[in-house]
Amino acid sequence: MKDDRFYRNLFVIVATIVVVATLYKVRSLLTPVFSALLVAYIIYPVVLGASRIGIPKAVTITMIFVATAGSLVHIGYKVIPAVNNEVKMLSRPDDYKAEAESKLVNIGRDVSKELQKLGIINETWEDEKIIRESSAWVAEQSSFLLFSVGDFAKKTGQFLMIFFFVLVFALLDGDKFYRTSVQLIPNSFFEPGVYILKKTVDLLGSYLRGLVVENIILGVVSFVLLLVLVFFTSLTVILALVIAFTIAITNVIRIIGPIIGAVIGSLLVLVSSTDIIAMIGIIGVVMIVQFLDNILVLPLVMKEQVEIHPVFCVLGVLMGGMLAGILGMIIAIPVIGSIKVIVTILSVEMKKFSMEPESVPELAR
Amino acid sequence: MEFDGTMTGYYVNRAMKIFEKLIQRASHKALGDLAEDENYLFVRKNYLFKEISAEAVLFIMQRLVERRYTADELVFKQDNLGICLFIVKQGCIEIYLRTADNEKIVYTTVSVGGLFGEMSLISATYRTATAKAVENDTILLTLSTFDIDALTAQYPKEGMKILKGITDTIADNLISTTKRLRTTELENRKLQEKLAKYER
Repeated sequence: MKDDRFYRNLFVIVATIVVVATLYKVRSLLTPVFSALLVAYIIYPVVLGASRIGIPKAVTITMIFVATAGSLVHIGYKVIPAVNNEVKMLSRPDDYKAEAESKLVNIGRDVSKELQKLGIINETWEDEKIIRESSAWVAEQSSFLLFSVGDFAKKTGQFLMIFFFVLVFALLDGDKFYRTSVQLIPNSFFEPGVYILKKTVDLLGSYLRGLVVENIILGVVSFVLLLVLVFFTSLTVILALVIAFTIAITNVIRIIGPIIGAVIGSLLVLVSSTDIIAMIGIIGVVMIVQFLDNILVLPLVMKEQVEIHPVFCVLGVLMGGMLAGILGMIIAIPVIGSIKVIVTILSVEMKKFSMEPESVPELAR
Repeated sequence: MEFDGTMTGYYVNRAMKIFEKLIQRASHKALGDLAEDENYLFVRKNYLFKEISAEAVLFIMQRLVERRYTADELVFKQDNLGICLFIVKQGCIEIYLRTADNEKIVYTTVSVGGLFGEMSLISATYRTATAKAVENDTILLTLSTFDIDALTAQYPKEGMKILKGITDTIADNLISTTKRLRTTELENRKLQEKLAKYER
C-alpha cells in the first residue's frame, strides 16, 4: 500500500516536471493561445446571450469578427497615414536615434538657455557635454523601447493566426470547455469542485470584463483630456487618439503600465514635433487618468476587485516580460489576478466541505 | 422587417429572411439531435422535468454531467454544502443518517430513474443525509444549482415549474414528517402515562 502511494507520488512529480518543461519549451505558442482564451472568456457571454435568443454561435462569432475587422481597417485607414513617418522611423534605427538625439540636444539647449536667462546656471562646456551625453542615453533607451514594439509588430502575423484559430474554437465550444472541466473533477471532490470552478469562472469573468470596461473608460477620458491639449499645443487629433489608445492598453499593466503609456506617448510627440509643453501635458493627462482610475473608475467598474500587492505586480510584470515579451507584460496582471482568485476561493470556500469518510455528523449528536 | 420599395430595403429584407431560416434550421437540428440522446429519457420521465418545454430540456441536456461511482463510494456527505441534484442512470444509491452512537439508519434507496439531492437546487443548503453508491458502475447524471439559475434566467416559466416541483416535494416531506412526529409524540405520551400508572 505504501509502495503504491510512493509510486503514485513519484509519477505525479515526474508528470508535473514533464508538463512544466514542455510548457516552457513551447512558451512562444502559449502566449497567443492564452491571449485567445482570455479574449474568448471576455466575449463569450455575448455569444452565449445571442445563442439564448436563438442566434447560432457561428453567426454571432462571424458578426463579431466582421465588426472587429471592419473597425480595425477603418481605424488603420485613418491612423496609418498619420503614424506613417513614425513607422518609417522604426525601420531605420540609426536614423531614428540620430534624429531623436539631435531633437533632445535642441530641447536641452533651449532649457539650458532659459535657465541661464533666469541666472540659475552659467554657460560652460560641461553643460553642453552633459546635454549631449544625457540626450544620447535617452535616445538609445527610447530607440530600444520603440524597436521592441517594432519587433513585436513583425511577429504579429504568426501571432494573429494562432490567436484567431484558438479564439474561434474557444467561442464555439466554450460550454464544452466548462463541462469537460467539470467531468475532470474526481468523485470525492465533486460538489466542492463544481462550486469552486463556478465561483472561479464567475469571479475571473467579472474581473476580466471589468478590466476591459475600465480601460475603455480610461481610453475615452484620456482622449477627451488630450483633445484639450490639441487646442493649446502642436498635438494632432489622430496622435491624441493613438496616445489615448496606448494609455488604455498599457493601463492593463498595473503600476508600470501608466509609466510606459506616458513614455510611449511622450516619444510619439517627440518624434512628430519637439513640443515640450505637449510632452508635459501627456504626462499630466496620464497622472490625472490614474487618479480618476483609482478613486472613481476602479471602485465603480470592478465588482470583485482583485487587490494585488505592488511588489507582486512589478515582479509579475517583469516575469511576464521575460517569458513572453510585451504581451507577457500585458497579460501578467490578469494571470496573477486569476491565480489569486483561485487561491482565495480554495482557502476560504474549501472550509465548507469535508469528505473525510464517516465521521459522526453534527446533526446526529 | 417589411420591404419599403428601395434597393437597400430589398437586400436587408432578403438578408433578414436568410438569417431567420438559418436560426430555425439550427434550432430544429438541435431538437432533432436531442431525441436521440440516451440521457433524454432519464431526464424526461423524472417528475421535475416532465412538464417543461423541449427547449428547456435541451438546455438541461447541454449541462448534464455524467459521473461513475464504485460500490461504497460517497456521492455526498451529511453536513456538507450541497449544490447538485443527481439522477440515477444505472445502479443504486443508498441514503442514510448516522446516530450519535454511530448507528447507521438507512433513510431510503434510489434506483434507476430516481432523483435525489434536489433540495440543494432551491438554495445551497447543507446536506441532511449521506449518499453512497451501492453497486459498482453506478452512473449518475448531475445538474448544479448554477445550471438551474441559468435555466430560470433564460426560461423563467420552466424554471418556476421545476422550483414548484421541488417545493411540492418539500411540502409533502414536511407534511409526512409532521404527521410522523405527532404520531410519535402521541405514542410517547401514552407510553409515559402507562409508565406512570405502572410505577404507581
